[in-house]
Amino acid sequence: MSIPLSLLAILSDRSAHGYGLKSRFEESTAGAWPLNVGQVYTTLRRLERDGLVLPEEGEGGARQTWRITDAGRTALEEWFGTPVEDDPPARDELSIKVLLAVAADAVDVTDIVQRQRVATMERLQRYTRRKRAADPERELPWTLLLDALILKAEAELKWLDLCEARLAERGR
Amino acid sequence: MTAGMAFRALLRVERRELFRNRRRSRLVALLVAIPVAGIVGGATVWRNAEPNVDERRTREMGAADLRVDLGAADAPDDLTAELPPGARVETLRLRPETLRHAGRRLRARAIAADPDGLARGMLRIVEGRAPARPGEIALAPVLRDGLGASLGASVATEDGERTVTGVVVDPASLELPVALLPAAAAGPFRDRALLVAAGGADAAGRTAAALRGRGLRVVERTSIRPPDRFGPTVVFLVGGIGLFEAALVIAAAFAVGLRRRRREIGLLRATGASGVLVCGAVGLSAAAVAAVGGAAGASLGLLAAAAVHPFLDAWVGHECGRFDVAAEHVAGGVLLGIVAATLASLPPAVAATRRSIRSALGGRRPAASARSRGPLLGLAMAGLGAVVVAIGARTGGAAGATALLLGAATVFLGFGVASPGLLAGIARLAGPLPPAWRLAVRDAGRFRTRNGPVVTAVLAGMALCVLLGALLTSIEARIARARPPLRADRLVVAGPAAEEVARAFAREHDAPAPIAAYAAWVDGAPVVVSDGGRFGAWLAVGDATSRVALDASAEPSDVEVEAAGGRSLGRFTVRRVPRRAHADPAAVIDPESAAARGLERGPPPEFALAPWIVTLDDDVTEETAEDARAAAAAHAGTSVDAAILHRRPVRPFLRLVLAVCLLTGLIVVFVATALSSAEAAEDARILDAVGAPPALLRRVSAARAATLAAVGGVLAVPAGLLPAPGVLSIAKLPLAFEVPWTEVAAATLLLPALAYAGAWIAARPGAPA
Amino acid sequence: MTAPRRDGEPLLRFEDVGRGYGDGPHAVRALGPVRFDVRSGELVAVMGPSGSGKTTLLSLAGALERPTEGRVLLRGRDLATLSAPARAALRRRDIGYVFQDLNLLPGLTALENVSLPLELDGVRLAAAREEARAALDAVGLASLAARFPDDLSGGERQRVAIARAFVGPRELLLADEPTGNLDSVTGERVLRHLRAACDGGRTAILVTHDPSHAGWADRVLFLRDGVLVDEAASGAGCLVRVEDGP
Ligand SMILES: Nc1ncnc2c1ncn2[C@@H]1O[C@H](COP(=O)(O)OP(=O)(O)O)[C@@H](O)[C@H]1O
Ligand SMILES: [Mg+2]
Repeated sequence: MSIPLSLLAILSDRSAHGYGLKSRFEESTAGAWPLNVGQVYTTLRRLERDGLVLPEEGEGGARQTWRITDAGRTALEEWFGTPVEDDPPARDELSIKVLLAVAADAVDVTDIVQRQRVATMERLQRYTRRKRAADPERELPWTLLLDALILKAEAELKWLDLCEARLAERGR
Repeated sequence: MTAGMAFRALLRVERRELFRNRRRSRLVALLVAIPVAGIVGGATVWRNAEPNVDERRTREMGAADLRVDLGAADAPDDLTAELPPGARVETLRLRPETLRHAGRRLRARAIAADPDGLARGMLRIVEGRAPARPGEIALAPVLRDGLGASLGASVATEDGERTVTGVVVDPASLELPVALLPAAAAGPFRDRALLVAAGGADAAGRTAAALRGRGLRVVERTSIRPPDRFGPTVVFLVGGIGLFEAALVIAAAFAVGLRRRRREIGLLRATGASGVLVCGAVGLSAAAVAAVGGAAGASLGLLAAAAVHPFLDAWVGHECGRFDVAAEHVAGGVLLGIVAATLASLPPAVAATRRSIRSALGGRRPAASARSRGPLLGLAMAGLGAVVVAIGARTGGAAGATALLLGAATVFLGFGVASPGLLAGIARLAGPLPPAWRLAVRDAGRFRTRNGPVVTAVLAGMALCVLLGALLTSIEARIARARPPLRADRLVVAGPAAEEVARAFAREHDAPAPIAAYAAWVDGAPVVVSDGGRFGAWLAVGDATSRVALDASAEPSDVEVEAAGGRSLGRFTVRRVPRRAHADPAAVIDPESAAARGLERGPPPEFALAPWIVTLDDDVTEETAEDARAAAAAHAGTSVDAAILHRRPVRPFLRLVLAVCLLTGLIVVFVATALSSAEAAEDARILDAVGAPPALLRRVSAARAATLAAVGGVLAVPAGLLPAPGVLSIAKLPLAFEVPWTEVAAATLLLPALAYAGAWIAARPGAPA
Repeated sequence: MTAPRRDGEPLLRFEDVGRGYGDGPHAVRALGPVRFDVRSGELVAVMGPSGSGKTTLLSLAGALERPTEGRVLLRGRDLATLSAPARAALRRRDIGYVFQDLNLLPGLTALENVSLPLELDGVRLAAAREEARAALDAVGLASLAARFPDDLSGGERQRVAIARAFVGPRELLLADEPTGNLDSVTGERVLRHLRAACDGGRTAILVTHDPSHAGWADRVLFLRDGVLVDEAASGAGCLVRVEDGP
């Protein structure tokens, strides 16, 4: 996840000071990825160095506000315009674990798969509970995020099902 | 994909469908087979029972070309002059004969002829040999059995004893008491005929003309024509009605199959098969099944006809000859079946292909059209049919009869066309019904296009029944009015030997002395009816029984009445008696009116042939009536009448019609319910899951059958009664319209009740676990 | 049947239940032995590959079939001891059933479909309809009460089926892949109603092979080759929102 570009995206709307940036980021991502203020300031300084943001006139310190530069807008447009590519895939522990277990004869793969299944299912159930509690009208970002997480968990479960089925077929 | 390839592909689909759906295919084949068997069997039996042209000619004139009927006259001496050279002539002589043997006595028709000569085929020796010498005779089986005279026995004839040498039959009438005498038998004969073999048709024609020129009655062999086609036509018509009913059910069967396959048909059409091709393939598959059914039916019909053939002679009373099949009857029957089934399959196919492909693929019902024109169209058709019936009744003759038939059929069909709309209508009102009935009624409405033909089939049968019921009940009512009922304990003996028979019978049965119908007397002399100049006809006094005895009319009329001396007694209200003999009374007056006018009651005048009335202690039973009839039969012109002999003459026939109609109606309903078993099974699963008691499932399927039967039966009442007045008016009697309550009750109550009971029994109690 | 509920007694109990079909060389053991309890107010999902015995398990719970081994107890009563009419009565009063499709009688309106179990149970027509209307209202379909099933969408039909399964005093709902033919949004709507019903005190067993639907359950039972292999129960949260605090 790119924090610098996320901050640029928030600044493209209107100028903000450091703490404001932190809370607006958390608001639009449903608080799933908390930021600390120090992190925000470090990032801003790096953006300023690259000429993507500029401190605005007026007070400094904690009340210092920042605005996006033209170079910043160009960089942002480029980011939004590029689809997210996961290729080659990010290193995923679950996949690696199962693949290695298949390779190693001594390990009971079905056991690993089943244990993972229960765990993922429980995670999925918890996401669903959250979704139940959420109001899809007022808490749209939160709901969308939960949908994404639920579907990821679902994909994982379906992959586990497939693993099991293929192993069973090979075993025959 | 070319149309030809597409059609072949469709045919493959249809063929697979026929095999996959064996039960329906078998049902369609059976529905075709039954009427076709009836048609082919009936037409074949009729054809065999009716003498063909050769048989007719042989029975009329043996091997001769001409027959000259001379009557009592002798043959003119110079007759040979008129005959072509080489012509053969034989004489056939007839007389009534009385035969006696072992104390028994029978009347016979004696024929002197040579059964091996030109008369060959007019008479046939079936046992022994023909009489050749003067003292010999051959007897018909009835005479042989009646006299108990076997071969070699001696029977007494009017001109002496004769020895029985053989058994002879008249192939045209097996029951006829013929006695064959040698061709040269002496004695007086009453009638004679000449059989002439003229040697060729031309010579026969010339000879016939010449003989006719001399004032002789001549029958030519060639003038005897083949029989008309009346019988087979009737068979085909009646069988056609059966096929029509079958076709309605077949249409419903195809509608079920096509409904189940609507996705598949949608797919076929989505891949480019046109609706016409789909309909063609469906029609062709129906034709194939019908061909199988028709062939089976025709074989069955022929087998049945062959099986009854040996009994046919005894049944129809003449020789039927060898078993013989007409190819056109077989082909016609099968073809009719194929055409009926194919036509029946098309409307559902057209309906299935008319649906939008999208709704077919979506498996959804198309949105119900807001208002169907069916009911209005149907009622208009029914009205039109009634008008056609009325016109037909006025026209009379063959055209009138055709119009009557067509009109009645249009009325039935009109109600049939109205039935889907009606089903939909009652389905909408089913809300307050208990669940089983609500489900049944709603289903009837949901599948109205399929149930319409079923209802029409039920309706047509029951309406026919109601129509016949109306006609026959009206005729019966008329008969009842015209002939006042006899008292159940009385016998009426009429004719020359009435007194003798009545007295003997009363003695035998310890009954009081019989009485003759009373005459009206005044001043010691019989009263005479002078109206219309029928002087001398006496006036009878009588109750209902006497009125029957005298055959008096039901409608009272005023006539002029006078005393024997010519003194007028004024005009009386009496019931007229048809005048048959001079001795009959002219009219009957009832006892109360007679008393009111100061008339006495006495024995009939001496010259009168008054019917005699025997009053028994108990009601007349069939045996006593039969006994009396036998006694009367010994005297020429004497007859016996009793209430039991002519009570409701048309009832048994009507009962039979009613039973047949009920049975076909029930079969149609059960077939229809069986057809919807697939949907019923889905419903059953759901009902089971919501906790319907097992008995409910049975009640639902029973209610389904009862609903169809009830709608058909209820519609049959107006459909049958609407053409009734028109049909009544063709009878040449002044019939008053009577509602046939039995048939109406059978159609509206009995049929649904039977359908309910039958379906309830047929539905096995569901046992899910 | 409203036996007083003893404390701690589960609503439904499978005691080493098995079910076989056929015999001899053709014998199949479709289920078992399985043992589990369902408590009042629970939503339990059953997952497993197709042919693993899910439908069999459900039809045993719904008294549509009898087990060939073990006992199925509803509030402590062995379902196998009941006569056919008694089991039918059970499905009218205690157990609601929802299939994947073909749930509704096409000849009855939505309202009549829902009121059917009550009517069959002898409730007066007006009262039954009133109760059915309330049940339809609960699944948000009161406005479609007079429609026939053919005129409803798939999701609406399943919601009517759920309303019918819960109408009257019934509190156990058995649903066999009720969302099988529905898209995810419609499926989620159906599950929300199910969940809401369970939160209101009813109990449900939901057979599904859609993990995101099983996610709505309190517990998920995994079935493979007729036996339970594991169980997942939703514990405390893992994903914490900022405002939830530590
Ligand atoms: N009536 C039956 N007769 C024979 N076998 C059956 C019957 N019902 C189910 N089975 C078998 O039992 C097994 C489980 O079936 P089912 O419960 O329908 O599985 P699921 O619903 O999980 O797909 C399957 O192998 C199936 O073939
Ligand atoms: Mg299943």
